[in-house]
Amino acid sequence: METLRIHYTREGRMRFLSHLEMVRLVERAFRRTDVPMKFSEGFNPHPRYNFAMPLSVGVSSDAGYIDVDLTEKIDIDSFLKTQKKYLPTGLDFKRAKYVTGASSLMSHVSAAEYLIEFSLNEEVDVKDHVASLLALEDMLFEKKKKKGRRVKVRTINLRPMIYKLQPVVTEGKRVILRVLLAAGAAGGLKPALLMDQWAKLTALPVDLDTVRIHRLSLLGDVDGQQKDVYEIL
Amino acid sequence: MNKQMEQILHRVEKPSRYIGGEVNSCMKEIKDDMVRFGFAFPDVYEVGMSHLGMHILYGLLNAQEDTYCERLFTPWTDMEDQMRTLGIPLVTLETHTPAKDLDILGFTLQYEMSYTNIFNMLDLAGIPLRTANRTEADPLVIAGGPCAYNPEPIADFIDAFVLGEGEEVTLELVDMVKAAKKAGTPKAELLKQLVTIPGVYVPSLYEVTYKEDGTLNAITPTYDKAPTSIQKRFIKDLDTVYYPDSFIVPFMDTVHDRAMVEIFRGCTAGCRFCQAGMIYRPVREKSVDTIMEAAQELIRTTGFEELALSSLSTLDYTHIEELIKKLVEQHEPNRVGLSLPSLRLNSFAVSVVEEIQKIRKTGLTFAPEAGSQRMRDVINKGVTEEDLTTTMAQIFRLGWSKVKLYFMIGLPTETFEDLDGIADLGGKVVYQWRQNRTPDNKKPLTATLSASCFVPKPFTPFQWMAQDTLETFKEKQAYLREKIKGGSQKFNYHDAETSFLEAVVARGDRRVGAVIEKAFELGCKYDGWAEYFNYEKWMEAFEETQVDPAFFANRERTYEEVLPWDHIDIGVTKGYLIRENENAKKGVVTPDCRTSCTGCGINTDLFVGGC
Repeated sequence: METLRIHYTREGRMRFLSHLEMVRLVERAFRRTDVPMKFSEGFNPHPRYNFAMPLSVGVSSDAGYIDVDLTEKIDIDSFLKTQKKYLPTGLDFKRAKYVTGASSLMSHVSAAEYLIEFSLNEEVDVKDHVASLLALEDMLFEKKKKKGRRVKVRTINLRPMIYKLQPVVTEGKRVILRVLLAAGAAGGLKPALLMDQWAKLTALPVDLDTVRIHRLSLLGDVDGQQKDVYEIL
Repeated sequence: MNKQMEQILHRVEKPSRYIGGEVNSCMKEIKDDMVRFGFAFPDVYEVGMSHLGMHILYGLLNAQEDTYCERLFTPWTDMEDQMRTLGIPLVTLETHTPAKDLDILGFTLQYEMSYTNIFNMLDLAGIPLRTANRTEADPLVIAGGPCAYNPEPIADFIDAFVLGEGEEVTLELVDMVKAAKKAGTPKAELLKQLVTIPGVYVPSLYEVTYKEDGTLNAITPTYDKAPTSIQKRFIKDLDTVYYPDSFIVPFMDTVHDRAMVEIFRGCTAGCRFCQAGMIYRPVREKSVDTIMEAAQELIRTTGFEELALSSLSTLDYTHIEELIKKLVEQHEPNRVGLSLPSLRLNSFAVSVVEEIQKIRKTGLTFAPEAGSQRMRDVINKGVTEEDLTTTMAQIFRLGWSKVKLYFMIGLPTETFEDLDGIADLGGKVVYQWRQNRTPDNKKPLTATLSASCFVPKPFTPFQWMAQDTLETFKEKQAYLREKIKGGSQKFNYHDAETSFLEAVVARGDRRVGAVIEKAFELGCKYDGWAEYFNYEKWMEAFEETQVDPAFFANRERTYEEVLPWDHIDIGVTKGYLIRENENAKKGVVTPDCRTSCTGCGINTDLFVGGC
């Protein structure tokens, strides 16, 4: 068995796909180009692949990763070169390589970097708001989880999940932030939730309807060091 | 994609319904002299994209160099709200061109309850609803599909109907529109030209008169070249007819998310309630080779993991065993599942299903349609009790544990004893399960018994009958709900109000059109969706237009009465339908016409010497 790791980007209309739609799209793309996917055993065999950190609907990305199990190696060059034939516009396979060992892309992910663009309802000093947000010790959030009919509420502190947050563009009411947030199986903070909570906590007059999110990179922890997920075996 | 559109996509549910750009969707360079065709499906994307006819006509039209066919669906209500708030008109999926700017807007009429969505789409497009109010700037609005066989309820809103199978007639129509566009022919003149194409009905060129009792007197042409009877079109040879070598692959999970390959058209079973069985005659099969080739090509170009054989009754295909064997051989290595919709319940079906089980196991759906043998004889559903029980036994032995059984209530001459038959059949399924389940099958049995309310349809032997009233339907549903009990049996039934309305529209005439228009104005849309169907508003619409729904739904017609669809010719004679209705009353079964010709008229009038 071979595991192929693919680094992909999505932009344009492709950002409106849900994770489930992405999964289906990629499987069918593989089928169209005869990638020899390895199927699970059993009555209802499924191809085996692994997406690192699913993207929310509406989010574009430079940093998407898929591990897919193959029955045999394929030629990566031609696989990448012919992608226009089997991928829709807006989805691109940037690079690919074989990785050894059992893949668990998701378990490595520890942080994600995003650009967040939005408009303000009125002009304010964004730097002040950033400072007061980062000065907070706690940012408590009640996370609701449906368990059958019962709704379980758990209080989590979002503040430690904000690693970096800095404005890169402030032009009148238009703002672009660059943020590094905790991500992954151990718990993470999604940019949309950050903006939502921020607006409440420091009264940042953000027009939530205008928030646009773009993922720049996905990082994993290796021996206390953050590395691009693509590089982690 | 324009900025405004992009903005609202961030606000709506399931935006992938509206983005276009799917694999195999068609992008063309737009030229002034090309015909811009909008294929409009009056329902939400995931429903419309499951429709085979759309894939065929889309592929066919786009294979023509100077035609560009794009798709339009009904926006879901959240999207509609956004569009109306921002003043965004209805646009095509491919290029986001406003529908109003197209040359032809073609609606497919798959079910009557989608008609308010047609009005909604026209309204969103900024196109006047009534043909009489349209100008030269508006597209030619056409419609086709099974409901077009009774075009009258929406005759005042559609410029031209296309009757029958579309592969030839649509191209003929597009050619004529192309020539008219080039010559600058006014629309009134174009419509007069269109009636010279066989199978095209232009309602504005016909006059309708009524009798004092409210029934029809006549529908007669007012233009000498318009035919008094419009004959449906059909394709003689399915091996040479166009079939797409690729389907658009939707991003979102559609209702039927799979490749579909047609194996034959028409049906010989002669079930008396079934409109499809009459209007799609004669039976024409594709050869095994044609099907195999189409299947391979479709799977290759789409990457679908499931292939469905499409027809009205899959196992009636002459070479079905050979076909399935070959398809399994071809697709099993690639883990492509084969699904056979429209199976008729018998032992043969099981052997076939067993073959498929090797690849992937899905739930099984059977349609005995009626519970008692007497009732099944009345509707000419050639299935016996023994067929049913032995088949059940077989599938349970093979390890299945999930079955669905479809029934109709409100069939002609139905009594409560016939309803008992439905409940009894449910009990027999449970019994067969206990007797035959395999020891290693840990899953519990789920038997879903589903009863819909019968809607008499035009061009069937039951086209003259009165539909059960709402009260009767509800009484029957309550009776069955009481009768069908037990953990493993589930009883589902359809909303009777919807079926009542469907019956009004299905057999309605032009007066019903005003009701639909009024219902739309009152806010009705997505009537086929339980969460949007608003019976009170519909009743209000009837009241305001002073149309009595019972006149259309619950009234028995005489054989002499002029029916709203009498000027349409499907090739099956009225005499045959009358004969079949009389046989039904007597409980006399008519054999499958593959065994002996039952004289429906299709091979004497339309398909001479065919079948």
